[in-house]
Amino acid sequence: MMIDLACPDRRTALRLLGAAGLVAAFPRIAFADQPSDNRLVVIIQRGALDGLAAVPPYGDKHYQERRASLALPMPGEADGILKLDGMFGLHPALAPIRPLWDAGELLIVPATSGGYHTRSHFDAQDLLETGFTERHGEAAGWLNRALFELQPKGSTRRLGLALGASTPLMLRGTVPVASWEPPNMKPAAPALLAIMTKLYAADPLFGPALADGIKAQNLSDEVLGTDMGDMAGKGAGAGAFRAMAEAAGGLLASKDGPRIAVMDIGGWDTHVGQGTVKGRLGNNLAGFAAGLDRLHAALGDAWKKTVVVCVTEFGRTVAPNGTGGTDHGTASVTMLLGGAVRGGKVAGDWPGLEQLAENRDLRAATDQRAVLKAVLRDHLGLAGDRIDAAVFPGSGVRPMGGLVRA
Amino acid sequence: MNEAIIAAARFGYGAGPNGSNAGTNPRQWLKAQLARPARPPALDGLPSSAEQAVAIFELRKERQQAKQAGELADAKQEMSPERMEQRQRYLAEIAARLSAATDSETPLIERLSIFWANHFTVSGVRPIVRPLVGSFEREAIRPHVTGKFEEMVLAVVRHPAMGLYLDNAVSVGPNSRVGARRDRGLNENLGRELLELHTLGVDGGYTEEDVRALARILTGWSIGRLKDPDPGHFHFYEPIHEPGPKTLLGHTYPENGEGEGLAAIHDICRHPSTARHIATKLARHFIADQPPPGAVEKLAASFRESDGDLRHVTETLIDLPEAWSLYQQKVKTPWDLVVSAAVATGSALPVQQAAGWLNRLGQPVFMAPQPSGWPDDAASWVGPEAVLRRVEWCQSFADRFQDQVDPLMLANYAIGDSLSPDAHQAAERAESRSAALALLLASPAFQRR
Repeated sequence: MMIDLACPDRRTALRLLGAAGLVAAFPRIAFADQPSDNRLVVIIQRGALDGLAAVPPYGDKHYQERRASLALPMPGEADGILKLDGMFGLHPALAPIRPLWDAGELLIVPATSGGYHTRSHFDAQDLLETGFTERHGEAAGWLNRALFELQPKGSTRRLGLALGASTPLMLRGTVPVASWEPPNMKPAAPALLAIMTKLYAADPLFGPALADGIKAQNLSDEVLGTDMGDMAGKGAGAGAFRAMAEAAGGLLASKDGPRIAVMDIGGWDTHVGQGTVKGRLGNNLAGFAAGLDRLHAALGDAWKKTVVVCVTEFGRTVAPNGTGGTDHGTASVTMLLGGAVRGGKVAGDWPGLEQLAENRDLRAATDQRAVLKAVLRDHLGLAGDRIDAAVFPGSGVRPMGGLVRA
Repeated sequence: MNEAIIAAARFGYGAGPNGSNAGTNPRQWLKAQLARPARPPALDGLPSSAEQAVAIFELRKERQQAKQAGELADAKQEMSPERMEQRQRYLAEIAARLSAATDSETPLIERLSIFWANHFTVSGVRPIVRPLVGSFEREAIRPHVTGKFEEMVLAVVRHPAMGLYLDNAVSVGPNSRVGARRDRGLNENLGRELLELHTLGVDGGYTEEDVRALARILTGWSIGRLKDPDPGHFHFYEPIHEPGPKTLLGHTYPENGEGEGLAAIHDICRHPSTARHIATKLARHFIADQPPPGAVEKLAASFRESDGDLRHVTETLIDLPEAWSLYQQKVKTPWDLVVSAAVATGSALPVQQAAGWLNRLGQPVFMAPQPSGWPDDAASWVGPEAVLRRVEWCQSFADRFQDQVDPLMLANYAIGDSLSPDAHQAAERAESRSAALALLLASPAFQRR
């Protein structure tokens, strides 16, 4: 495991990482000009989350007809949608976070997009992370630009924390950030093994060897899709996410630790066999919810000061495709969780499922950056004019109001 | 298929983000490397075998003295910093070897160095040899990869790493002055492997008598000790050399001390079985696990006719049509895979991690399990567990180095036409850069060369 932490509380780091993993020194520096003690966690759901599955608009009169075979059982039915309000509910696999709604700590912004128009994962993720709507070679992420504004001048404390093997573009830039990486060589993600099974099929050496290897590890059901039923929390993507979520919670909770963390969870690109209650997407949502649970627990009292924002590069088609999945779409959902969220409500408009973008996608009603700007301003105390000038220059998007507890 | 990509992947570690240097005349590019086999700067400043061997002797002496003085317990405790230093040196050697491979302007020279080092394996699985494996490659292998085969054999046999690894340093002629006095005798290890692995080959037509004859011929070929004028260097000890004439492969070598070995090595390097054995191994390494007989014959003829001139033989290899037409027949070893992934992505490998990766992928650096070296056939590397580890590794590597390159560009400059349309499409559709890079590195087209 790799560790690069300039400042967090030594005991916390030791507990998390084991003494052997620690190489950095831990200078303690007192700040005259302390930054906000509030915490922000951004979770990037890479691969394009199907927002209509995660937060189904069951109350939309076109829901069942448009979603067809992908429609979830209605609230109250067996394995049914977990009702939030008269329009929206949660996928049943998200049951672990359902109590947050009642506690006023879960807020839904349906039908969000990044303001860009591309169906390429890579392009869209770059734009999501740089905060622009067109590529112009920007090598810094919007959150690093925000850190530049937040960091007290002359401070060497690392407010930013990147979880995972590399720093996400969102956190890259002039301000150095801390990083935490799960142990090396984790088991290959089931999604990758599924792809490799296909790509090795024609290879006389690699094909049979991989098939035998998968069989030997009892991975075949998960990977080959014959029975996707019991994968919850076992997939490597979700497993690594849990580890990262727990580490992030612990480090953010420490007294002089980082305050702003970014982590990834993949596995959302469900073109084939997406499933409804169970299946690829349901399993990944369960792993996601389990990770959020860990984060919540590890944050402890700091949860009260925390906003978790879950973003994805775009949504997916409304109707199922020919292989039981969904293809690249436009709008998805943005979820906010945490003790500092003014939750228990849905914010932003719902464009409805009657008219679709390009006759296939959920239309975007809210620019995701309106959510992000609101969090930077109202939660981290960054001045609105600095956000407009330095973090999301030229976006022309106004921050939403009332997303967080003042 | 683009011959520049083949040249880079078959005879090097593949093309990087700036493309391959193979240009429009890949054969010329390869041959030009043979004309200027530069020593990689990464190898500068590392300790020589002699320095390391002296350190080993001194350590032994200290321990012996400590033991005699009854201070062994203390002496043992003092070993710990020594071990740490050894570990640091070992990592420094791995770092140098990795950098030499990834940063090379003459990748063919690097590949040849690894090939010949494996042909003449000395391995750190014997702890006493471990500090010497890197310097062995620098001193006995690299200077000769475009020189005469005989000179490489001589450098290898005289090198302290080989002397220790195959025990010849302690082999004593039973009728020598020392052997007659003490209860010490002949060790056949080097004599046997020199015939079986390094020159004639197992079916090369020699007998057990020949093995013992060569072992007797080589008695006295050892390492200078602390009391000698040349500590740590090759040293011929007349007092342990077996006297009398010896008959090897039908030829009788009259008693001539060190000269017997020089003459015998000269002759076995010119044995027709040696030409065939080397030709087969080269063709197996660079062309296919089951090399085409025609290609082997041409290489063997080139070896014979040039008196084992390795530059000439390598040029013959480059000109073989099969070297180009049988592309993708070879599976990369873990070393090739890790180095070529670093080259393809333009990444600097973190040494400690890279060493760990290679352990897990089954090819720990400098640690070949046997004197026969690492296997050079796909079946040995593509087992069920091994393939899972490879896919796993591709994912870990891609997670870490995803930002280095655009995966689809990598597909073009590093893999080219051999990438299946399925794999290309999967990369286009992958849900993240890291997923695209992982599957491209794991694709058969990148796993093979």
